[in-house]
Amino acid sequence: MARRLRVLMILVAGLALVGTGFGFAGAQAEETADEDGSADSEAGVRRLANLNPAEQLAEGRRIQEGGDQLSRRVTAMLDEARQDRDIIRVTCLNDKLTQINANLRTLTTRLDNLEAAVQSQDSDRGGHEFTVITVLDQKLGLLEREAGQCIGEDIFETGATTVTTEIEDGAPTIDPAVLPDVPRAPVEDFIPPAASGTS
Amino acid sequence: MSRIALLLALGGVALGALLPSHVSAQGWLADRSRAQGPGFRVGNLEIHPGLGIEAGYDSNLFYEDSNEDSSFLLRVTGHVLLSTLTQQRQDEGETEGDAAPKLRFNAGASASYFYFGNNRAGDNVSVDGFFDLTFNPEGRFVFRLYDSLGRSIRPFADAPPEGEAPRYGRVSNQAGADLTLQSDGRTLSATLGYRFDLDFFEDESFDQLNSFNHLVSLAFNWRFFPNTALVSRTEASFQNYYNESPTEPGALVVDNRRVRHWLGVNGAITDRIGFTAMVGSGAGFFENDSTDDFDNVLVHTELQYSPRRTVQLRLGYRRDFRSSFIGNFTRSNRIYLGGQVLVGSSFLLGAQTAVSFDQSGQALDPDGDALGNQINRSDTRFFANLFAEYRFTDWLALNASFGYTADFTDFVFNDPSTELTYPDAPAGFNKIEAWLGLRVFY
Repeated sequence: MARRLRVLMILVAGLALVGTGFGFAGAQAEETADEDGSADSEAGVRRLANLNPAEQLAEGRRIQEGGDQLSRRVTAMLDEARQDRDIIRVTCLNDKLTQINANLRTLTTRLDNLEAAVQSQDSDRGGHEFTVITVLDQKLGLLEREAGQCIGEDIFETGATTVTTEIEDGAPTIDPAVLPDVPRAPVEDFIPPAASGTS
Repeated sequence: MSRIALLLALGGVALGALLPSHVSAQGWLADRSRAQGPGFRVGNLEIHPGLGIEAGYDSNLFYEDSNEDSSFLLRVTGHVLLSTLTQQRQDEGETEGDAAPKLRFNAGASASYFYFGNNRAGDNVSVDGFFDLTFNPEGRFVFRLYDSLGRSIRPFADAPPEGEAPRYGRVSNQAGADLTLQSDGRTLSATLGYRFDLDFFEDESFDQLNSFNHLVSLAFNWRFFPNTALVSRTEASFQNYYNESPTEPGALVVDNRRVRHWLGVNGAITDRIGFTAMVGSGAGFFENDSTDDFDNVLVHTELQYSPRRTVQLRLGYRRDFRSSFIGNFTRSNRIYLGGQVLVGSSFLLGAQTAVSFDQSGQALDPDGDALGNQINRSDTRFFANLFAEYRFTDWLALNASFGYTADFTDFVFNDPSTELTYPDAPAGFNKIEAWLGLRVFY
């Protein structure tokens, strides 16, 4: 009897351990999935941090080229908004383009610094300049999204409007342009009787 | 509108012009909304025929002060009403598209055969017809043509004590045109109108009372919320008694010009209360040196209360003047009260009453002498009417009415110094009239 009881307890303990193991594995899988987004970006940063100086320089130039393309695209959008005389969109795009160009000028300076650091084999300075370039890249990406969200007058201009009047039940039905009639007797005016001898 | 429908409409216009019409429409025909049933639709027109038979009693056939002649009455009335599609059909989606109609048309004709139980009044037929044609009713410019022509045959004055009564046939016509300029939504509108009236008595003994009248009117409306308008009405009438001859006995009336102007507010205060508040001035100029002209203040106020859609009440007061066959004009101060209730969508009960305090201009005979014992004839006129209708179906109805009319006056015609003699020297009267009838309509 005691032996059977021991065997049963061992089986229960074994099943409990297996269940706990599955539960832990499931929770870990969920956590892994939740962290995929941040993991990708962290992997990207680690990947950029692990670049050698020549690769950093190439990456910097790629970022600069992307920034130039972004500047041209926003300039074209600004011209289109000016042609449409959409002052709201022009103001918004002009602000974004100014910021993009300012960041591009900084990017150019930092890229020159990175190139000089690579040539002088100053890895610490090169790493610092490349970090700044990646931050500028993120800033340009943010400005690109904001420029795409610039809205114009078409949001506010409703164009030709029509007014639909819905009259509630029980609303006054009187036509105010029609004056009410006054009740009148069958014979309103006294007509003098016919004089005798004339009828 | 199809070509056939247009031809029918124009045919109806011609019919309306040929057949008589007048506001003296008998009984239930006076309220055309009650006269109409479901109707037949022909293209963009709808037709409402009907036939009614009524029996009645008149306690004072000739408006006598004493020795009244009463009479049993029988009235058989047929009518047909024709119109473009009414608002009810439009609301129920029977029209094609949402485009505003370019033409709105109403016409109708009716005839009533009267049988009088009293032999002194011969059987006769009254007729009534009208048309009303509006071009571009929802547009910037609106043009309206209308005509209303009718023949009434009911006695309107005393008859000689003995012998045959005069013929009481009276033909009246009102034809006019209005031109309206209105803004979008009709917030502002102005209407210039002209109307030509004819009043013709068939019996020669009344022929000096025949007249033409030219009426020119100008109306302005400024609508504002909730459903109210500032309104102005100006009108000038030019009346010509074309058989008038001051040298002939019995010429009590003269040509005249009357001008009225009203200004006020009309519309709704709430969804249940409406009101009218108008004030104005009136003037009458009469081509007779021996009588007064009229110049006085005019007032019209009315309060309407509708606690629910099926109940309507109204109370009003109107001070006005009108041309008169005695004394050239009559100034009246009238208080009126009325209402109607619809029970169960099939029983309509209504009542209206009015009391009017009237005073004429100088009541003189053609020689310039007083016509009676008062220089200015004063009357208190009372009118009350109770009516009911029960609709068995949407095409068959039983209707009844009971009316009381009275004229309380101390005026007594003088013994005539001319050839004029009046069969009933006291001028007051009491009259009761009752009707019960059945009508079919569609």
